[in-house]
Amino acid sequence: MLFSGTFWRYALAAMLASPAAHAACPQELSIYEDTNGNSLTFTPPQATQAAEHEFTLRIGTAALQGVVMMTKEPERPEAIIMDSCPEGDVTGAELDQCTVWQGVVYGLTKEAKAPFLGKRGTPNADAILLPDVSRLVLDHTFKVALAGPAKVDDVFVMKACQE
Amino acid sequence: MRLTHLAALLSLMLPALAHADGCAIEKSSFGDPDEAYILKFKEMGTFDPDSNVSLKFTLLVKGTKLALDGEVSIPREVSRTEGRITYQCPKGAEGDALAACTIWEGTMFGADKEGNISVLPPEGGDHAPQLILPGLGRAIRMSAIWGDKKATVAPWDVFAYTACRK
Repeated sequence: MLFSGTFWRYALAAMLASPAAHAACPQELSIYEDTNGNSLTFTPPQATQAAEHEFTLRIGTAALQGVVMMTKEPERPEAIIMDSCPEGDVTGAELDQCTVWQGVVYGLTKEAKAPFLGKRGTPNADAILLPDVSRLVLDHTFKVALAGPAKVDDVFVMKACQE
Repeated sequence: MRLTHLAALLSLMLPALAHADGCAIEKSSFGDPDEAYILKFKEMGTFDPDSNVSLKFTLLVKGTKLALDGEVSIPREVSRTEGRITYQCPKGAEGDALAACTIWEGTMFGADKEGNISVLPPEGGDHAPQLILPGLGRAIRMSAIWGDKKATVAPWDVFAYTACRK
């Protein structure tokens, strides 16, 4: 390790103190990456749609479609990641087959606060946790054949802003 | 030798290093932001070499007599920790019987103060500052323990370290 944990804490504190260096990105314009080079790119949903967020998860040559809905009682950002689901009326079996992952998305922050993925317009989370996605992609038959077994992490780290 | 056992053995050999300035996970307690629950790890006492179970805990619902049983296990050859919370399971319940008394199950994560996630260490390892139990709040809201004079708060899925039992 090049620098100690203390160094990073001070570096982070310095970044937080300077507003120019810590330009937050709206959540819906944030781009994340895992350690295998897979990317998770948020895109603002169409105003007419009920989704809180939409994103594209790129794993190798595959581009998967993600949708985040805020559900009630209790309020949670629930996401579904799909691999080219058919348009129009879709049966339960068809939806099962094209669903790669489903669950609560967590937005991790560098402060000690409990992580929660923010709504549209809120500052970006420092990292995104998709619990167990690393395992579930291995159970999925991709519509676009991958070069080998999908190597994906559960955590995607903030990389860039589309602003 | 399985990873679980190796890690357990290492933590036994290096007690001073393992929790020099912390609390062993089996002695630690965690709470939700609404302070409606207490998640308390407990010492297992016996070491079963055939078991994948790495930790045991109790989940208490404050203001009620509800005490749920929790277990963490490390699946074979996978660097992941799985959690299960059950309520009044018959002894040795498996399959459908176990599913019927399960309140929540899923991958359980530790998270540090910088938001980095990890797997949970076995007994003897230092506690994580936070625990993530994905989907716990919804699972409790939909379960048999929800209702009048029972659980009335759907907890946030992230619990923070609160105390160490000496």
